[in-house]
Amino acid sequence: MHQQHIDPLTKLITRNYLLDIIKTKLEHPNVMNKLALLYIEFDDLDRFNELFGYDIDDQLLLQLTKKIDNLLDAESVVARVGNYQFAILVYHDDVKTRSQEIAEDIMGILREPFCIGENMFYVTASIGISVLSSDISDAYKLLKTAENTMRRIQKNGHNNIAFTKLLTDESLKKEIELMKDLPSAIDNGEIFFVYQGQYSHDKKRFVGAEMLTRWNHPKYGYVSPFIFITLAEKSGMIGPLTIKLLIEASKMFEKLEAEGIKDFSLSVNISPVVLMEKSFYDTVVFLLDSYNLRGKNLTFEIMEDTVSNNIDNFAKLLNKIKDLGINIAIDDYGTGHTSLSYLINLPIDYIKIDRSFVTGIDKETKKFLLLKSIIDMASTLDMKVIVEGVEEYSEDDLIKMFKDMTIQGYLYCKPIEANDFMQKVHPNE
Amino acid sequence: MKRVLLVDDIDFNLEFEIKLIKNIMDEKDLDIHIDTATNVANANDLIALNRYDAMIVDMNLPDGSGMDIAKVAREKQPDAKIAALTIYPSQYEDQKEYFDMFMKKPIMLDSYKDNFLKLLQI
Repeated sequence: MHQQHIDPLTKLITRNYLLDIIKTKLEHPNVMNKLALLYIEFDDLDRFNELFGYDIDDQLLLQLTKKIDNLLDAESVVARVGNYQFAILVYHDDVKTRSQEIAEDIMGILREPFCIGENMFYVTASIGISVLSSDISDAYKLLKTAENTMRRIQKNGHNNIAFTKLLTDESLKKEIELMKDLPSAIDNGEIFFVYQGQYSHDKKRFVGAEMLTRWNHPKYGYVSPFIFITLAEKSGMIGPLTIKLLIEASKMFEKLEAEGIKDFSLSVNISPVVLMEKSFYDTVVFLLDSYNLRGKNLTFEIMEDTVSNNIDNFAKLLNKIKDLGINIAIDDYGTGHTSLSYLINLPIDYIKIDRSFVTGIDKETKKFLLLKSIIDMASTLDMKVIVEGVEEYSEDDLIKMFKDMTIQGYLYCKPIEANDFMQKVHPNE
Repeated sequence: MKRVLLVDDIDFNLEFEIKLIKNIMDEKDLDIHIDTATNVANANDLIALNRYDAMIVDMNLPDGSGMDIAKVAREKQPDAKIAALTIYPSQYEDQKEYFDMFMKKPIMLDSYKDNFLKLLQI
């Protein structure tokens, strides 16, 4: 075999050679649904180097290669496709089951520590699997879709296995259509905003609301925000949508003030894509200068994963935003899988505790104690707490025991349209 | 002093454009008079009455198209610069004799400001 086909360290075949092998296999009849590719990335190996010295990663890779090689039968081929990435080509009559078995076996290997010198290391991995099909029918696509699936796992917290799911023709068509319709929907009001009140136990009134986006599409009806927000992020429309949201907030402040409601805050979700736009800060400054918006009444909600994974990128920006008086809230607190150091390194005013920590606190003492410990921690760090997903009176009674709690949940207010919301928060109601 | 005409049937957009232009005026220390219209008839009335340096015209209006305004404006005020404001600029690319510029909707801060200055040749 040619030298450039072999990785000098692990002696495994390289990415290009793997692609050649797949191409050769594709020339055989009946490989459809019998060929799969596992794309594996090992997490944090580079950081082990920083912590324990150069070469630890090489030694780990050698041990990993050996253990993985021992798992595989003659029909499978393993390649090193990147610094910390391996790919395994699997051929089997029931390739899905076999791929799952191999992926689980690899996860099994990783549960045991690797010993190097005096140190023991635990390695985790994310594994994306693609099966050859009419939609994934060439070598490059097989490798690439498996890699993309692996990246998706990493985004959702690493250390897992997933198969590539392709969109059916119909859902792809719908997605393309929605993407095309997005700009006009933002312009013509098909996309609109609803309000979910935030109730303060201490003040016994609504002290704020989260603004949520809805799309009532003429052909498809209500489109899930998860779908169209993702499409807006992909198509560059999330910026204009966020501008519209902030201007809508200014209109709501005008209405509230006209009714004598002051000291009220509105929260808006800010997508990581928007945070990374160079012009975002200038846009916010323009909106504060030109519309009826005051920073102190405005809260930007940012997903926990966004900030915790990008502290260095966002710390400066969030501090500048904070200087404009705007509050920062961490959304879905507790769902990320990362260290808590970001809580001290970023200017955070609120944490919004995810519903998963709330549902059932009236039935399980441990759940209640966990919620209590989060509330205690927030109070120690001088952050306010908004509890999400409160749906039962028995849950609410327990939350009332804590001071200065704000509740956002169906028990007090569903997401409702602006006019209904005005009725709800009106002091005479 | 420059005079511009903004045409859009959605108040939200007109308000946003006015605020952006005021922001430009502050930044560049300019004096610009802004007129607005929300439909073709209203816009054509204003064109008959006033002389404009530039017009920014939404293409999709309740009583017609931005094209109906551009045709009148080209004839009556050949020196005025005309921009089409549209979600689909590529649809109008062959209408260059009526439009000096195609501006994209939804409006983005930076590109709107840049294009506005270019249109007014500032």
